[in-house]
Amino acid sequence: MRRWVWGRIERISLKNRIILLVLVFGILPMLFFSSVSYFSSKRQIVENAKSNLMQNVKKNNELITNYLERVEEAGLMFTIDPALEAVMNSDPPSMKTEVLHQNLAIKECMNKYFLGIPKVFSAHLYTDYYRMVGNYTISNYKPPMYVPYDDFTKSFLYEQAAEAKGKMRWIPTYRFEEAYEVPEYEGVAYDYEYLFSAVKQVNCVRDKDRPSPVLIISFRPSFFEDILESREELGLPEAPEYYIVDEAGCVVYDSKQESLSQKSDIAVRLGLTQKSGAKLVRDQGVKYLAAYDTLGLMGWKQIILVPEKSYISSLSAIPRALFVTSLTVSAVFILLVGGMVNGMMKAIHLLLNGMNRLGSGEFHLHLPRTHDSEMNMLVDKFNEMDERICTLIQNNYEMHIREKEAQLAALNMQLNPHFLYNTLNTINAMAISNKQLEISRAIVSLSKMMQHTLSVEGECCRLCEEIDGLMDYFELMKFRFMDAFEVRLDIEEALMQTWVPRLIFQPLIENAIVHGFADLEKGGVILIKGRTDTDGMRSFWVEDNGRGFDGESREKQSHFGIRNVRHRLELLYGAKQEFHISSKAGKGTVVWFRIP
Amino acid sequence: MKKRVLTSALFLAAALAVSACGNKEQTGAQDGGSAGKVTDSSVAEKGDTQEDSAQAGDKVKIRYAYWGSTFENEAMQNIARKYESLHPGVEIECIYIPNADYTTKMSAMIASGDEPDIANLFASDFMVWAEQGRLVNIDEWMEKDERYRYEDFIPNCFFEVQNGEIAGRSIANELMQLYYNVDLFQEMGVEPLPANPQEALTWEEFVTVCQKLTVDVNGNNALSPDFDPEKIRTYGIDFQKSSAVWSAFVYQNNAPVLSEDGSEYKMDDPASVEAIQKLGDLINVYHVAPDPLTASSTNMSTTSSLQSKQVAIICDGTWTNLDLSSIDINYDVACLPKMSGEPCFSSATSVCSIFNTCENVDVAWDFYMFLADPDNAIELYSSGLWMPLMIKYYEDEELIAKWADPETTSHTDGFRECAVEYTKYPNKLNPETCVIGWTKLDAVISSALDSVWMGEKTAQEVLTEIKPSVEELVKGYIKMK
Repeated sequence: MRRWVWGRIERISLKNRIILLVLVFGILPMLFFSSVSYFSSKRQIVENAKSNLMQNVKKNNELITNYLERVEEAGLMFTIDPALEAVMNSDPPSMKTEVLHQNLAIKECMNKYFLGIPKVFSAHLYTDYYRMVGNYTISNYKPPMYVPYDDFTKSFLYEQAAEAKGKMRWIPTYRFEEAYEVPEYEGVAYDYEYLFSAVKQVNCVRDKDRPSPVLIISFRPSFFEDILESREELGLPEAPEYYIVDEAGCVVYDSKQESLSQKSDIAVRLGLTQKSGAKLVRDQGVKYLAAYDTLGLMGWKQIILVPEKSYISSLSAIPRALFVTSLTVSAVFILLVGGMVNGMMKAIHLLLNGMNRLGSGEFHLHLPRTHDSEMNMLVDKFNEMDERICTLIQNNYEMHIREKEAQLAALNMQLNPHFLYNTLNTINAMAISNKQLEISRAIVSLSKMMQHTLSVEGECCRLCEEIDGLMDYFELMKFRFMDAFEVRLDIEEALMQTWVPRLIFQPLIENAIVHGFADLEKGGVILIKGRTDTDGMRSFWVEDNGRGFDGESREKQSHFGIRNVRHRLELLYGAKQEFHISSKAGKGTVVWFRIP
Repeated sequence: MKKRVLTSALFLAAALAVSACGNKEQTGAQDGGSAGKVTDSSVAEKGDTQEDSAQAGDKVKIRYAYWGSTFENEAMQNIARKYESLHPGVEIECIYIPNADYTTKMSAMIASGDEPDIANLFASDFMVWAEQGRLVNIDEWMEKDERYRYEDFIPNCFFEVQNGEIAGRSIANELMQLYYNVDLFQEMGVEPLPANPQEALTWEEFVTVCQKLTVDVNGNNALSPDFDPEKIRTYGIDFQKSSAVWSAFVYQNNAPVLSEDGSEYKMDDPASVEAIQKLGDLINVYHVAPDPLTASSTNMSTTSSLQSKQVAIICDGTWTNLDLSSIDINYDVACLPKMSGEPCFSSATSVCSIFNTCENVDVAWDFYMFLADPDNAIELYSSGLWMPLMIKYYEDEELIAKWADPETTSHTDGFRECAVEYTKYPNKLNPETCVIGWTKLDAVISSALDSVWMGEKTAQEVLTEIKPSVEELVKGYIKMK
């Protein structure tokens, strides 16, 4: 396992290794610290939010309690109001007008206590003789809200009041049409669909046989709106959800206006079962911070729900900025490093490329310089090397040629021609005087051949002259090898006057004789052919039927004579010449060259 | 390579800038969030901004108090917003106080030095406070303002108090009308009521119509022998027992409430008695209207009663048009039935005044007249809340169409004849508006009239009985211009 990992690691390129290192030792710690900072900030925010919300909830409840306590107090004082007592305990009215007037008197009394309390929507008193007394406005002379007289005793409001026996009881939000049977309300526009009320039996009637009047003070749920939603100093981007539920789960107020008067298990569901508190909850997949407090007056719970993302968005920006910055810096860093490494690799590749080309013989590459000073050093040195090698080769080559020339010259100069010719003449004279004609002939041939060979009259001579020289050589060879071979000529007449390098054939002939006819006693033939090719070049063959050798033996080719011929041809004609030697063992050898 | 470095550097700089901005915004939101929120909400709210934001300090604030239905409140809020949009340096705070609490509340506000700048007032309250010198003399302002002259306005529009000071103007022109449920009339097979005063029903015809419309729980109408007055399901007509209403009928009968010069109680006049008795008979003889006790404890508001067909006709001031046009009801207006003599129209208006504790009377005056001029506040008139105070709006066809055309405004077909044309007849102000100290008078008179409505005494008895106690309270009329 470790081996495999190590193997993988080693195979990662330099560039990626650098990036990896940067990541591991540079970026990761940064990210780690910024996320630690972020999460601890978040925790702090949650704690702050919790205490903030709790404060808010408690303040709201204080305000609500304030208002509602006033109603309680007013209810108390109303019960013992002397004017009310007087009316309620007076003799039953004989005239209907009296009923009307007493009704108005009770209304005045109610106004005294309840008119001044803001946000009270309506106040009613259910009585026996005086019917239903309600506060009303002049323009409508009817109360803003209707409470039926005849069936009131059947309603749950009456029941609750009776049960409480004189204490004020708070009824959580109910639907008006559910509380009373009012079919005539269908299709009618009215603005008290939902109400919550305080009911109280007003025990001011002394006659025990008469029923006690019942006070009904009603509010609309919008009462809470003004209190709850005016406290926007929470600084949240969106309004939180508010609920007020009673102990049985009946929704008194719902900021979303969806579940008024219905039963809700929200308190139980979210675990808000204490008197008050704040905690993180999850409801229908959404995380909330919930804070709640109970209204002491009637046990209703006020719950505020703030979705987590709402207060998280107000998260302190510093850790976030840090987070973002570290990410950005990481990204930029990686880009920069990558860029740098890429640049470096490019330069190296350039050098490698240059080396390749240099190796295959391309010189004067003049690699371009880069931006990097270190790389530039390399490049400069490389270019220098390029030039030097080039120079070196040139020098070498030239030197080599000069050497050869020197050798040739030396060779040429080895023999002092005058001494040679004089000596040969003397020998010739001696031979003639002794009537040794063959010896004379041999000496003359030698003399002529040597004259031809050692002539300093230029690199080239006419082909006819060259052939003459060759013939002289052959004469000598004939003497030596006693007619073991003969020479045939097959040269185009036109070629005879053309210029050929001096002694070009000589080594070839020598080879043929010395090597080809080494074992031959007789029947050897050397054929010298010369043709003009279609493109104007001249082809010459030197063929022999000697011993031959197999294929194109490298050994033979590197033989001094062949090398010489080749070299000279190259020097003189450069690329415009061709030279080829082929042979077959036992059959013979052909040497062919082509010159312009 | 260079390009890359450059772009990377730019990217980095941009990222840093963005996160720095984000930082600032959020700390801004956390600390000064309330400021930002208040500025936004102060435009959207109903003008109840009492916070000390920088905005409030630069604007002139005018506080305007009024009563009315929820629809009326909405209409006033809208007009305040309109005014604010035309005058950016002004903020109007609308103080809505329900009727029942109005006098009490207003008194409390004055007592605590917290009176509004402009307020609608009941005439009797108006008189009291005008005498206490609490109201601005708008005569001076009328003189200075070149846009308006007294002649532009209908007669009896401005209220004169001691020293010839004009302490207030009518809120609007209003009169008493009948409103009826068109669908119910059709169902019952009854002819729609006439809108043109010349074609008004006689009293007898009117009673018959009401009888046809009054139905008991068994389906018998009031003309039927099987009719059970104890178990009425639908009433033909319901009317307030306030002086605004019964005085309208008294005037229709060409009868007086007080003498011409306002020095004498005149309701014992036979014609007045007759009118009151007729109203009482509607309740107790023909059983077409509910008595006050039944009425006050049954059911919903008058407009809702009309909508739910518990009553076929109601009698109320022209401001009711706003409420009725805002709910889902097919209604129309009709003129009061002829009683005797020529039709006359009884206007029922209250007073609008400027308190002299107002710090920016010039701005208040501008808004004050803005409301009175249909050119500006046309919505208040076309929606049915008010009728114009300016004469040209009754004479120029084009202008009439602007606020009374059934096609383009909230008014019904009958409104033109019934209301616009009605104003061509003689105007008699209802006592509430023009009698000095009417509250005290009314307390006695209306209280006494209760016996008539309950059917326990006759109008003759009652109105003669109270004469001695009432006479002392008669103080004359308010002077009007």
